[in-house]
Amino acid sequence: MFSQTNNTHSVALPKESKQEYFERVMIPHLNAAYNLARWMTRNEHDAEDVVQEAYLRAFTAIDGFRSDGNGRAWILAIVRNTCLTWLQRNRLKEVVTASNEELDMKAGALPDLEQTLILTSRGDLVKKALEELPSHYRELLILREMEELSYKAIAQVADIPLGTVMSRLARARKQLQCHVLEMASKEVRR
Amino acid sequence: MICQETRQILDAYFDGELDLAYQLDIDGHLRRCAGCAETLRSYQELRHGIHASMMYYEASTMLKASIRSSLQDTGKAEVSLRRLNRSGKTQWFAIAASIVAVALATAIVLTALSGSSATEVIATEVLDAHLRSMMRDHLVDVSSSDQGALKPWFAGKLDFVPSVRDLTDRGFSLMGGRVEYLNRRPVAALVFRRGQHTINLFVWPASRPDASIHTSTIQGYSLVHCSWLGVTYWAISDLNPSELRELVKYQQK
Repeated sequence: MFSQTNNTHSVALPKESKQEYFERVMIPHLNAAYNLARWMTRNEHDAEDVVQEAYLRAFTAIDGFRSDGNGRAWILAIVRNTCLTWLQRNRLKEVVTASNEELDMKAGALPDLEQTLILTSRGDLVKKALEELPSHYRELLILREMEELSYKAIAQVADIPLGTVMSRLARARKQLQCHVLEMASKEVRR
Repeated sequence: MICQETRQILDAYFDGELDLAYQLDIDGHLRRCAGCAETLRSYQELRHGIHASMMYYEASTMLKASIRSSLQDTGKAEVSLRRLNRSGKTQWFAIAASIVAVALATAIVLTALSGSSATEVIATEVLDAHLRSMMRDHLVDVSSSDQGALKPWFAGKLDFVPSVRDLTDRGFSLMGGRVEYLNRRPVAALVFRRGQHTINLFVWPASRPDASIHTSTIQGYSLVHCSWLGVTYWAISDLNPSELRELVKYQQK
């Protein structure tokens, strides 16, 4: 905890201010924070606003961060919450409640794997498909595929049980594959 | 390992989240099953597509500088946060109101559907706990086939002691136990193996009158539950339902 670090560090390091500590621990995760916010808001300026607000919130809450904890997961959880508040304020339609999805036990339609294999290597299609994925799927794929967080860290950031991380990731991947196929077929029709 | 089970945990395998035993099981299955192997390959392609498309957005140096400067003065930062909070107050009220509305609606629906939907909720939790138990280091907290050792372990962790039965002679070997949180309370989880199949049996004191054995299937998993002499049992596995029923029946005896 920060209040302790001031004392314990004073031996080895000359006094580290609260701000110096925060910057040392949290600024390295700024790209991760921005990337998540950028994908969630899907807009450059909104993402910057969200990240700025999240970092201010994090700064005032830094005493609650345990220095042996996962700093990236900690800051990303705050960024995610700030994003959700922001989305609720600005784009209520996009906030998906996941409860129904979790109770829905029917597995979605399976994508045609052979076609998917060829198409998903095309980055432009994948990018577009990811942008259109429901936000609770999108965030999990960002955290797993781009940030390479462990399931445990993802559970912490997205505030869901560990088992849900796996089942939701499975659905997210299937849906993303379906979206890619759909987009490719639209492209052909054009 | 069969396709059904593999499909359920293939994502965890792909993400390196399975414990070694399961990983080896799946390795073996993938060598034999072209379908599952292709699904895995499609995940690899998807990951490749994501990495290859430069989709990672990096923060601008402007953003970094402006965050630094707004942190510069702690006082200033605290003030601006208070301002944010103030402007968000009406928002919070609206959100709180909508949460209350949803909770009310849920309560009404739950009452209308009586016990059946509560059972569904528990079934979802049981499935969740079962899947989670297959991930790295989650299967058992105490590894023992000796019921004499398991009982005191549970006694130290729970406000009840589950009657633990070793059913090796019936083809169910006891692997160990752990504590789970289900149905809004800590419960005992007993882990059995039958051949290649893992079984989780959750046990807790019943809050409702005894109910006869009920079998269902969710996402390819068999679930069996009942309440007997004041104890609730929930078993889940990829075993076929009749074999799973057998385990629950033996536990009752």
